[in-house]
Amino acid sequence: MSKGLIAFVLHAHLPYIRHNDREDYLEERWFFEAITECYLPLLQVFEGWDRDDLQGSLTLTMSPTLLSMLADPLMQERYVNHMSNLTLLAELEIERTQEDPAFSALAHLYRHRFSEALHSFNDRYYRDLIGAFRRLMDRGIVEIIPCPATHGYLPFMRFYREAQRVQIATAVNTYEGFFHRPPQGIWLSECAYHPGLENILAEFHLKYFITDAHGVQFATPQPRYGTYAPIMTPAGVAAFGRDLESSKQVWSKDEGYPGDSDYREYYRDIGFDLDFEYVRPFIHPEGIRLHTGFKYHRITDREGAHKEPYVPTWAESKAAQHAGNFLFNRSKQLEYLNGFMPEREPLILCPYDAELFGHWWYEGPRFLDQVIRRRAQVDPGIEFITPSRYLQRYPRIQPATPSESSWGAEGYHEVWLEASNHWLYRHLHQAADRMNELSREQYHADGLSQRALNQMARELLLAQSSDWAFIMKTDTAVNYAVNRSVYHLNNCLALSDMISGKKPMDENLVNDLEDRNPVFPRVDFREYSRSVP
Amino acid sequence: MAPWFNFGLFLLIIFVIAMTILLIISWIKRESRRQPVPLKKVMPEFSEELAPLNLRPRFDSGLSFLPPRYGQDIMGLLPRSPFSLYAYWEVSAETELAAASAFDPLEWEKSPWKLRLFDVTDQADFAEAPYVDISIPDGADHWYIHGVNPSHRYRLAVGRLTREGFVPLLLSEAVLTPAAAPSPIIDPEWPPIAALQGKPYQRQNPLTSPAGAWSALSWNKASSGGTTK
Repeated sequence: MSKGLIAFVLHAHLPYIRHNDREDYLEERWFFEAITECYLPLLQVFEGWDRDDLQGSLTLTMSPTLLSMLADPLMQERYVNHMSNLTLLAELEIERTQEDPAFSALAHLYRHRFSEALHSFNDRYYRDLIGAFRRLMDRGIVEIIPCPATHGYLPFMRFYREAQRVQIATAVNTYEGFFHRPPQGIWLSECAYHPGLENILAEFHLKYFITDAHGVQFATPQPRYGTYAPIMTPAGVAAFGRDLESSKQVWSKDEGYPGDSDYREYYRDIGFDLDFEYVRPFIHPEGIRLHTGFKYHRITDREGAHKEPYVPTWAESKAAQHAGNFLFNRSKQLEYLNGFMPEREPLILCPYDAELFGHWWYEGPRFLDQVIRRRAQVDPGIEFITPSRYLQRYPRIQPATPSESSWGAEGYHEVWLEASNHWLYRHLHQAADRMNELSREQYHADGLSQRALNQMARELLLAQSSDWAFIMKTDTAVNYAVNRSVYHLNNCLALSDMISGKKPMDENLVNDLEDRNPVFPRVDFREYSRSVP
Repeated sequence: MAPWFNFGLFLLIIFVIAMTILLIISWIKRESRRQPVPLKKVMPEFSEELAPLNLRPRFDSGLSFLPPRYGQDIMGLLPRSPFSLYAYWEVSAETELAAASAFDPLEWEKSPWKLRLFDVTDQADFAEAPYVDISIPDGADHWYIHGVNPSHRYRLAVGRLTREGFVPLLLSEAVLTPAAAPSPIIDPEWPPIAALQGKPYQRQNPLTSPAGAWSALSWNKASSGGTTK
């Protein structure tokens, strides 16, 4: 028996931002940046654990929309084009900074990293990153689980159980298509849970899901071990609660590791700093300045505007130091917990957005790597585990129903339902209602009607992404989020009018939408007519 | 001219030649280590991006508005937190006409719109349940209700308050607000270990308990909402 268990859960997700009509959508850059800064570095870290025979055992959630884009030849091609462009900018940067020793070394570093990323993507993984992650799962290094199909916010669909069910069914189906096995558990979008949801998860033989701390702390009956052991819902699906102490150390904007003065400053980028004519070919064609990925400064002072040049060696040693500190704190935490629960190993569950590691926190992948590598040195009593392995080890779990909650600010649903985004829900509910009705009425539809119904299901799923409401709330890419919501809802309406015979069937429209939004090719509209437990 | 001078010149020439060769070799070596720049692939894009834009219309060009009304009875009630609910509704013309037919048209028009929130936690039959009325402006189609209780079950009706009383037009499903504290229920087989329960989750909701829970005054103060645009 170890001193205690740590379960890292990284949640990798991007909304479906594929646009075949043109290449100048700023939002596609989220995907490119995530591959370069996050998914490829994480793959490298995980492969290192495998190579060096380290016990990693990390849980990675990959959203079905992200998987669909990673597997999409159009998105792959665009990634390659994007990276080729960046390597060209790297050449220019090397020339521009040659007189400046601090920046020149960084320009060389970026050229190396970007060309390495392009090389790995093309020639090492043959553009198949999903395959690379799958191999790591085969090797037992990571356990990959899905999240609802388009990251739909399930508590707002509580009266539309069919819509909830299709979010899960499509997630499981997509997952099985890419990973050739059934998923062990599921990440609920935004950790948003309401009692009763577990019945749908049980139908798909999912063994566990993750809630925020109070989802477990406020469970009924009160949990014996707080968040340090999972609880078992009446449907037989276990709920694991987030540990707040370790979360704070990494997540907190004010006290977290990522704000250290030696780490790379995200907000200083040559896309904003340099002469417009120089960066123009590498920013948006309409002249909108954006992050290019060339960031030469360190945080220096969290509050101050003055930024010193970034020193990679300092940042790397700081990441290793923080990893040691993280392990030391967990060791002390487990020691304390052990005193109260000698009958079973305490579990500390640490869920984070995967994009924190590498994108926002550039040194994040290195931190994670060092946490695994330095474990034996700091405290060999610590063991890393996945929730499914925990359930195998401890089949006897306290029966309890988690409390409704999410991991958003304030802990409930206010982020996704407030002044900026509340208008969405009446339309989403109407669309779900229409989808249910039509799937029953037209159950035996075939040919064009069947295609229209399946496309309507895709459009509904895409409209349901929690990302749109979140972006509206955070006031970042609001127009895009509003328009994506309206666009998919309008498509639902147009298809529904044609399917119900209100308007003549327009094959061109169906063709066009299938072409533009080809997510989840195996979706079956009949799933909306299934009864829900 | 002294012979030593010619010899010195000769040495200088040899030195210059040797240096030139060395420099060329080191340049070639450095170049061979450099990652090749995919010029052929990049340059056309580079020039394309500098060229005037010639792109297909965006997905959202010519986007039409969502329907302001669906012409149906619609009522949604959702918990936002242990202390707040959100409701939206649409009363169809047919439903309103049917209800109005029992009243004098002038009186009906003058009767104010109200939301009636039933607490069905202990009394499942809403008609018997305690309630509170919330005034809403004409034309309102959604409302935030603040100051409700955690772990309570609610139903909401939208209607008009006539001289003869409240006339409900639409009634929501029942919703249960989330818990805001550990459950008082204990499983004797799994008695909670106090030290493991953690600090109470620090949420910054100022409404930890509604002031004067069921008084209409506090409800009106606490409620906020918007009207249809």
